Amino acid sequence: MPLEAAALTHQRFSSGKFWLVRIVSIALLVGIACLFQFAAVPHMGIYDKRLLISAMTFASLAVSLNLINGVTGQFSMGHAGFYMIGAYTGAKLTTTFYDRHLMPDYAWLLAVICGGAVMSAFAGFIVGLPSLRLRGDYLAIVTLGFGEILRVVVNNQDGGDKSLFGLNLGGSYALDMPRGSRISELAYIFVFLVITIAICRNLLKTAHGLAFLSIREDETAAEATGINTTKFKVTAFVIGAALAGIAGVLMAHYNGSVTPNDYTMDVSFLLVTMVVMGGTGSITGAALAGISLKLLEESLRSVPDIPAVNLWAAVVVAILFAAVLKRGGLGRVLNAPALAVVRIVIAELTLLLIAYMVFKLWHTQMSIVFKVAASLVFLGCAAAFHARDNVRKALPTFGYLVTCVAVVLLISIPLASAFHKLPLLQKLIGDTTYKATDVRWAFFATALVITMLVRSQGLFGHHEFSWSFLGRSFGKRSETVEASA
Amino acid sequence: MLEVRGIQVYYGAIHALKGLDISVGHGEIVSIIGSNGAGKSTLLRTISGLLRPKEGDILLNGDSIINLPPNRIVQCGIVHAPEGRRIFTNMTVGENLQLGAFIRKDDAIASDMEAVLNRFPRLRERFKQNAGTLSGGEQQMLAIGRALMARPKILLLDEPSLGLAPNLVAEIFKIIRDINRDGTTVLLVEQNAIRALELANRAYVLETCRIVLSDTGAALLANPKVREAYLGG
Ligand SMILES: Nc1ncnc2c1ncn2[C@@H]1O[C@H](COP(=O)(O)OP(=O)(O)OP(=O)(O)O)[C@@H](O)[C@H]1O
Ligand SMILES: [Mg+2]
Repeated sequence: MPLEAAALTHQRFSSGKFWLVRIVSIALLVGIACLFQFAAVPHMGIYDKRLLISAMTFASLAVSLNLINGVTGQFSMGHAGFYMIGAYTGAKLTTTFYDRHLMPDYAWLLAVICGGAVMSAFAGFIVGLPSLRLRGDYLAIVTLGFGEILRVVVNNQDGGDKSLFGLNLGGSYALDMPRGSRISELAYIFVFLVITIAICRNLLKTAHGLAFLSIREDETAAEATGINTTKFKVTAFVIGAALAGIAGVLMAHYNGSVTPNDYTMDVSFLLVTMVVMGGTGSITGAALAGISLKLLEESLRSVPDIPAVNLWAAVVVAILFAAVLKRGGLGRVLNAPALAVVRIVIAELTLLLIAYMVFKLWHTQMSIVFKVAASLVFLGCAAAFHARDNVRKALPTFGYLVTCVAVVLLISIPLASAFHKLPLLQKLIGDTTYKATDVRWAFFATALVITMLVRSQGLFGHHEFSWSFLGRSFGKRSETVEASA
Repeated sequence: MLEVRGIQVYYGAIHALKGLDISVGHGEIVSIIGSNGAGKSTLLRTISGLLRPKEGDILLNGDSIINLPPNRIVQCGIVHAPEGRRIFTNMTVGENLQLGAFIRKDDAIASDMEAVLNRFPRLRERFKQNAGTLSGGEQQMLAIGRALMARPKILLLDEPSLGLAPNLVAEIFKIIRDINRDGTTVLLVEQNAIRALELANRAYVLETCRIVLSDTGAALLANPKVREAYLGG
């Protein structure tokens, strides 16, 4: 039998290797989780732990939303709603029925997870139904409404005496657990993240995965091909919602409390952003975008207050300069084929410099989460740049970019300080200082805008992440730059 | 084999098919010609279950399929290659073909894939390429190939020659004839009336939501009214 057809139909399940891979990965997973729990967590501060947990939670939420928005192409903006249903179901169950003598904590957590997942899945089913008739923007509005209505209802039940159908589910309250006993732990959330990724990945690997994708591609064509689009759309909603519900249960039990403010529209928006940024449909993209956006959002909290004049001067200079670089001959000169070796040397020197900075980073007071993340990203990128096929393309491009940035900085610093003294600017802006807490979202948004401009397909487009892919896409840019120069 | 009886189809308030009867016999090629907006695509969409008629019935080998959802209709062997190709552009050629066989559970899928790739050698060359990067003609071949992967008993083709260069049009029509020779009944909707009538055993002329003429392909080709309206005099 010829190759292609055979390869497609016998894609999986054909060899013993399949199970070997599964078992080894489960063992690895458990190992890493134990390592987390017993080696890393005891050395982590409260803040570090919280940071890591919320990053992982958002990553798993982004991955589950990706199943609905990215893979199946149904524009849902109500993911915070499913997350909330899980959290409140779990909280209600625990406050009502938890008894530490009844069963061990992990068994209780498992039971509550099932409860939260079922409730959220049910909500996913109900919210999924409109998706059968509504498309695109209309569905977005309906789902957005679902999330908000839910939050408002719960918020309004604050106070204890108000109830809906005799049940008070709402408001902010603490889960009544014995002091110091946290059922949910970092390791559980880590395991859950991995399981979420595994579920979505396996789902997409089967023939059914293509069916989900085909709905995003062209719903009518999918129907004409004999795909039961109804079933697959609702399934995507149900699975995505159930996973979000579990994330809610875990988070509520880690926090030991629930509050409606954790489930605002902002959360849904942030999640949609993560999915788009990761590349619609890319699971690893969603996970990485989830982690990095959450970490970015948090790390921007430590940005110092900035005098407005400085900020605006820097922005104006940077824009001017970017225009000059793009239009003028400078970019062409810097990118000349004859200078490839120079660019490679610059790239290598920069990598060394960054390596040194990462090394120094470990001696600062910064959160261990950032230290590890920065080191991993650095090591991965460095490796990607040096992968076999990338050396000749990715490295020179990197050198080129570094040179550009260096030139921008060299020129813009004196220019900015001159600008800074311009009376007109002084008059316009005065001596305002931007408080970091206010401009945090502006920085965040700017980072998003730049990312989307540079990679409009999202980080990974329709692909899954791999380091060599990262390096390759760097190389690709260089080709187009050289071609246009 | 397939019988459409008096179907009335509406898009909201627009009455798109006003009581329409056609029949397709086993092993035939039946063509439907008609001007733009006559309702040809609407007819195919109704047969494949994408639209529901308000009245009338559609029978496959004597059984009504009017209440079946599209995926069940595909399982019954009626497969629709919609107007404008509508392939899955962000998937590879191979994945498109694989999806064509989505409803099938048998183990002849691989050999059918092989048959399709033999029929369309270009698709074999581009097997791992994204379908969106194919040329228009190749995309049309892929659309037909995808439909064939479902092992249709009746293949509904909506303007397969749309936007193709003359030599490719000839090739596509030859392929349709081959597919029919291999045992698939074909219901063909075409703007290219001459070729469609030449190819067809029987044909219908659809005009403003109704069938106005039906005869053998050759007879319609000779009909002066048809010549004037559709064959450019
Ligand atoms: N989704 C829709 N909503 C409303 N009206 C529609 C819709 N689709 C088609 N129509 C109308 O129904 C009529 C028949 O359309 P149909 O697509 O069946 O024509 P056609 O014979 O296939 O024409 P063409 O040769 O141009 O493809 C047209 O008047 C068209 O405007
Ligand atoms: Mg048409």
